[in-house]
Amino acid sequence: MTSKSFKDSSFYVGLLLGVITFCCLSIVFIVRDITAERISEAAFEKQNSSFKLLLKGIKFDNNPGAECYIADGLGSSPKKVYVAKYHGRVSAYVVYYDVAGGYSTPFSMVAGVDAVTGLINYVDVVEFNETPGLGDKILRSSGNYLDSFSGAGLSNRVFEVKKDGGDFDFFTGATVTPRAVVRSTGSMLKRVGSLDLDSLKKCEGER
Amino acid sequence: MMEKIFEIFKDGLWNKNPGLVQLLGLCPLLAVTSTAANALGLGIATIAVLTVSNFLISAVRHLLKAEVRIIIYVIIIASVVTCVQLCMQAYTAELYATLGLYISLIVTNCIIIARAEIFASRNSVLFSALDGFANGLGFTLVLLLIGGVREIIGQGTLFAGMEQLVGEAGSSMKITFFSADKGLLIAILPPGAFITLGMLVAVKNFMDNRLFVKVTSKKRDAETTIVNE
Repeated sequence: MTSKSFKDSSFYVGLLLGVITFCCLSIVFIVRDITAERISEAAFEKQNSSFKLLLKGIKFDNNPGAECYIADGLGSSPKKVYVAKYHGRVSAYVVYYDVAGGYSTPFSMVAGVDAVTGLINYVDVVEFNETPGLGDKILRSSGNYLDSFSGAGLSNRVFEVKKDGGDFDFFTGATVTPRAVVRSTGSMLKRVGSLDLDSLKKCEGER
Repeated sequence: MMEKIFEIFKDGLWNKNPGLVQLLGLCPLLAVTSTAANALGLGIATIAVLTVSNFLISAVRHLLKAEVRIIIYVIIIASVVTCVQLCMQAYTAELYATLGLYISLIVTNCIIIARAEIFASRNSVLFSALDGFANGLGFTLVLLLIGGVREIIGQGTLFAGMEQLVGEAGSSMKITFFSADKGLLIAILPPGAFITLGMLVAVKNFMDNRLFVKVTSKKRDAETTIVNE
């Protein structure tokens, strides 16, 4: 067999594909191993810094990132609830929830809720896909609208915009998004009020 | 050798610019260029992928069989993209959160497979890597230009969000021209991307035509002088 006819055989093609795929995959796996630690560190840092903001002023001595539950009723799919504890007692929840009723598909927000008083500590938008210019005034990058939720709870506010007889501001010409945020936040608080941690499933491992 | 390198860069950056002349990779070109920082992030990722994939494909080009070459290009390109993606996830996590989807879409970016087929499969390793770099650079400059124009017109800033790309120092790179309320919204929305790209292509064609006309008219002048003499 000459080398030229060997190069024409289907065996050569199979070998070629196999060797190249093997080499490529090896490289990918090596890179994955090198970066894996840094990636999980980055994710951890990101979560920690967001917890710091959401739980500002609340005492806790556990790692909320490790106390994760899955709860339904907070959006189109089950959402994560992180629990902060102080001396073994629940002091606050970090709740992810969907905001429906805006211009486009639901977007997601996160809130730190004081478990004792039921008041909101801090809210922020996690993922936003409203039409630019129409609803994005609520974002923290363009104003402090979301600060009006801090200290608000079902006991001291009506969760509607002022136009609908509630206690929350809205933007002239852009009511839709604030209304959706206010209503969804209200129903999130109701759900959190009836939260029974023992009946909830724990999150399955780290993604 | 130097001439060839010069030629490669001239083609990648101007004559055959992937964004303006080959019009390849329009999906990311139009989708992520709402701000200059996003555009730059995707551009750098594309440069990395193009250079490395061209290099690797050129290195194995003598082993390839015509029938399976495309499969092998795709395997190599996909692996390179995955590696770049992992690195971005590790070192520029915030930018990755914004660009995530488009980074994996680099696999399907026609520029890369086009450069593999047209250039890397026929040229030496060094030239191929340079060609990948030049084309990536040309693509990045177009991305950056569109991103910059859209960001300035749409929200009155330039280089907002650079800290996602280069760390804390980036936040001081933000230039504000006017308040976001006065921005022309359509520039940030998808039509703005098409309009800006169209304008850029028109400007480039205009410049090419004018240069071309000048050159030919000079030639004609030269010819007439010869005839006159």
